[in-house]
Amino acid sequence: MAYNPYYAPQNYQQQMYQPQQAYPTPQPTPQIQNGGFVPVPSEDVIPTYPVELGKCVTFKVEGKPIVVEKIRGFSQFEAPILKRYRLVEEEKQEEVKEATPDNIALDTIRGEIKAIWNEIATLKEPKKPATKKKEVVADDTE
Amino acid sequence: MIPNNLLTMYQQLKANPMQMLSRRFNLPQNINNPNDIIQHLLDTGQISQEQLNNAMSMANSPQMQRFFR
Repeated sequence: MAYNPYYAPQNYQQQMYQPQQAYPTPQPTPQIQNGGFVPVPSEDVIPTYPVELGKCVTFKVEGKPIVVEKIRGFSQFEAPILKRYRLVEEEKQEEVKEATPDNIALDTIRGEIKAIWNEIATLKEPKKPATKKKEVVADDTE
Repeated sequence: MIPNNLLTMYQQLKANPMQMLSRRFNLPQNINNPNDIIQHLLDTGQISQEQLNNAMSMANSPQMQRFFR
């Protein structure tokens, strides 16, 4: 059998202990950054307004309660996304309580407790004696 | 005494301003729309979004509008 250096024991051991390649560190996913706030005279300007890659620019239409967000992704071939919002003025006189799940649960519990107390109060009231009605007995003597 | 190269640049700019702009900012030949030019400058990082927003706000202001009429 001819001498084959590749099958020599020392070469085989060297081939076995090849250094492992370091795994690449995972890159954090890029996030859309704030591109600023721009007042514009009308909504027609917004679709053609240039926006940088990976940025979100907020436009306020002057004279109207409208805000438009233009979001551009990280790809040049991706069309920008437009989100239109309508501003609603909050009334200052009444403080509107937000209907959070906790508030709803508390209100229902309070209502139930009140109902139970009312029931207890009605049970505690002295009952009026019931007036006996004169029963008309049929005469069976005949 | 104005240097010759500066005079030459001024003459070239006056004759063909788009060609000078394209050369200065490395614009592709097929782009001639202002919005496309600005988008190219944004994509290549030659201007920032903040700079553009400031410039557009200035251009839309009533004080500047009278210069464009």
